[in-house]
Amino acid sequence: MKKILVIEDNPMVIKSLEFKLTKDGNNVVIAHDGREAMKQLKENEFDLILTDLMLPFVTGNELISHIKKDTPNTPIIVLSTSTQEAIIMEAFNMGVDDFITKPFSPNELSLRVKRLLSKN
Amino acid sequence: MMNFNIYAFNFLWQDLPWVIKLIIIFISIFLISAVCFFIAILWIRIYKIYRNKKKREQQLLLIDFLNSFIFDEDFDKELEIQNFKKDHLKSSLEIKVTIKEILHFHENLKGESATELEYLFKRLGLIDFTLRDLNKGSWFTTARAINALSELSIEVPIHKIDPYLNESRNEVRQQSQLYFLKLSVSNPLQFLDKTVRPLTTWQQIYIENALKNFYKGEAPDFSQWLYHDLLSVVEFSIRMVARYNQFEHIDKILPFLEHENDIIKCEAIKSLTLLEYQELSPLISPNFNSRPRILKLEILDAIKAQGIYEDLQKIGEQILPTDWEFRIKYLNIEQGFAPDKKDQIYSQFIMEKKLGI
Repeated sequence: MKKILVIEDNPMVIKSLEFKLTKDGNNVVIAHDGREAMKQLKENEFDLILTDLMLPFVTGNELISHIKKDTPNTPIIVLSTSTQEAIIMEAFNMGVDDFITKPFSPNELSLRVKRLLSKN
Repeated sequence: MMNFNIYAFNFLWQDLPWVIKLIIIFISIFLISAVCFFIAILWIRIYKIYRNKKKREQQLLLIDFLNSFIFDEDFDKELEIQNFKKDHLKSSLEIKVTIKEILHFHENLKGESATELEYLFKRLGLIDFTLRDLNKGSWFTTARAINALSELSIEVPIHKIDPYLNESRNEVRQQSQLYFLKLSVSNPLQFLDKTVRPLTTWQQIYIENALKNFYKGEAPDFSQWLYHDLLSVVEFSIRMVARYNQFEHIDKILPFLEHENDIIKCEAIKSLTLLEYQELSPLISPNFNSRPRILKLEILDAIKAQGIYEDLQKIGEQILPTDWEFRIKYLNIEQGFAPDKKDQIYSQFIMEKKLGI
């Protein structure tokens, strides 16, 4: 069972992601903000991280650079409402593996997660 | 005992001087009002707490229900819909929360999941409730109802939404415009033909945004609204011709350079600049000095964007030496045209300023 950290502050999105990813056979851990995510990252190891960019306390970008420094091989998928090219480019330059914009298709997201998990 | 008390009270009351009686009456009124006020506040608070509790319960229930409905293959959809309708859609509050949550889910999901939510909305009978809301009278209920229909792409007879295109409230007009735009297949701006109230700036922004993000068909021919009765629609159409690179309509925009309204003239200059119309400079340069300020600024911007140095110089000759705002703007643009003369232009500007020319 793969362990996925979902960092998101929208309760509806959290529930949907948790539901879908658990149904796909993953162990899903939720962090509601950047600080909680940092704590989880310190205590656990994850096979994949799914994060929003706009987060309370610690921003998504800070979080990504932290993850890339500590565990550079952990794949990261960004799930964000932002469609601005500059923001997407910046995320990819920081080393994220995939960028999904909201509104998102849960089936598509599930496929992308599976693809990244099988790669690693 | 009671009779005695009333008798004693009457006896005492009659003996009191009128000033005391008046004070007692006022104090009594004040005390009764204060008690009533306190009870009302208490009741409102309790009702609000109860309502919020019910709302939270319904929201939690819906998150599970909607997730199961969308993602769980073992979920008996038809049976669960019937059960949900029977048990959890009894009060107006429950229905409102359900609509809100479905919309919230729909906002965040797309593809098959979004289609599932649209289907669920219909099957739960929420369209009837939304249509009832349309006629309730308060503008926000109407706007919310139209918003729900357009967000979930639910088609209702045109005559139900048509009247709101010219409502007095901007918000209602905006929602009905978005409804027609999002649900149209071929001519997304057809509603402009029926519009008799001016488009606000925000409405223009929303329409443009919806055209880009929601409308999947072929871009409409914006020139068909260039002679609309409303200037705001004309302004919007001129802008859209340029935004959608409809070069074939350049000839139709040219007459607007001589329009009586300065905003329309500005929009025409802006659009022709964006469309890179090479013959623009000779048309806008003459009589520069006699033009209003907003037009002068627009003309200088147009020359800066696509004119040549000679065009700018022709305008420079017309700017009065004392007109500092336009001299400074002119010199700034000139620096861009002649970067090799940058220092010379700057020192000339400083000298002129010193001499007060």
